[in-house]
Amino acid sequence: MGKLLKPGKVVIILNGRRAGKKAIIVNTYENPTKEKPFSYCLVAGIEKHPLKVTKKMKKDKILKRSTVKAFVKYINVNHILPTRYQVSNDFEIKDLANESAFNTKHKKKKAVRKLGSIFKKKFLNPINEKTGEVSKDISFLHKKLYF
Amino acid sequence: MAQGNSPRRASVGHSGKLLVWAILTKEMKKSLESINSRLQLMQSGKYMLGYKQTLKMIRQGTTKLAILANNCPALRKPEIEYYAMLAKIGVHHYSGNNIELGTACGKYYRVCTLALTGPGDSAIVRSMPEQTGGE
Repeated sequence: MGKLLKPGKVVIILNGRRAGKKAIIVNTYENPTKEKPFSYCLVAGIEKHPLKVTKKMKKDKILKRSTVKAFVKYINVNHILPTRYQVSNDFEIKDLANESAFNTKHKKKKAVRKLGSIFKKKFLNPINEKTGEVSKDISFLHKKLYF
Repeated sequence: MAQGNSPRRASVGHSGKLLVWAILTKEMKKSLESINSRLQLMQSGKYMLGYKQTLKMIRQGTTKLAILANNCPALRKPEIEYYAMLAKIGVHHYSGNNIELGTACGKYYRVCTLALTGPGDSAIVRSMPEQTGGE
């Protein structure tokens, strides 16, 4: 009977503008605060997945199609569906998103751009150094959820 | 009352060749009553009724067992089962609809989903995994 929502867990966002997008839990805040009277999570997610790439394409085209648009969000725990996938081994979870990113718009833009490049790098080189294989968690994150 | 269990075989004696199909209604009824009597833990144990609260408890990790009525909406059932799989808790499919489950809990309303957070006096939490094993 472990806690469900741990940092590194891949979740699917259920409500809001980001409904249907996949995200990684960076931090959970169980106790409600005055500003947010509910339990919520800080998630780092993928807004626009990398496009499909074929062998015939040139290198710069592949790079362009592999761009990932990311998002960072505080989200109510009720609006999240946890999955069985975990990316704690593949990412430095704490580096993905930071509370300080929400201070100013400029900081948030920077953080989101940085996140996008982290995801892009990871998806271009998905092989885990320790195991030598692509983890199914990364494969899951990589693909867009069609619904 | 709808009885969801399928008929079970009972082999007769050591003659081996003879397998007699016997609908063990007695056994099915007994299991239903035993669940009902174990639900009497409502007096002693801790529980949460309702879909939203069940999910809340599962997320917190305080649930020991989830119980679903048989007319649970088709999307809700696998959702609770998935959550339970993630949280490593058992799910019991009560063989009765939400009206009956509510009555079994001693309430005057319908209960489709419930979460047991504390077993109280009864052995429901320990015995449920055996019964759900064949599910």
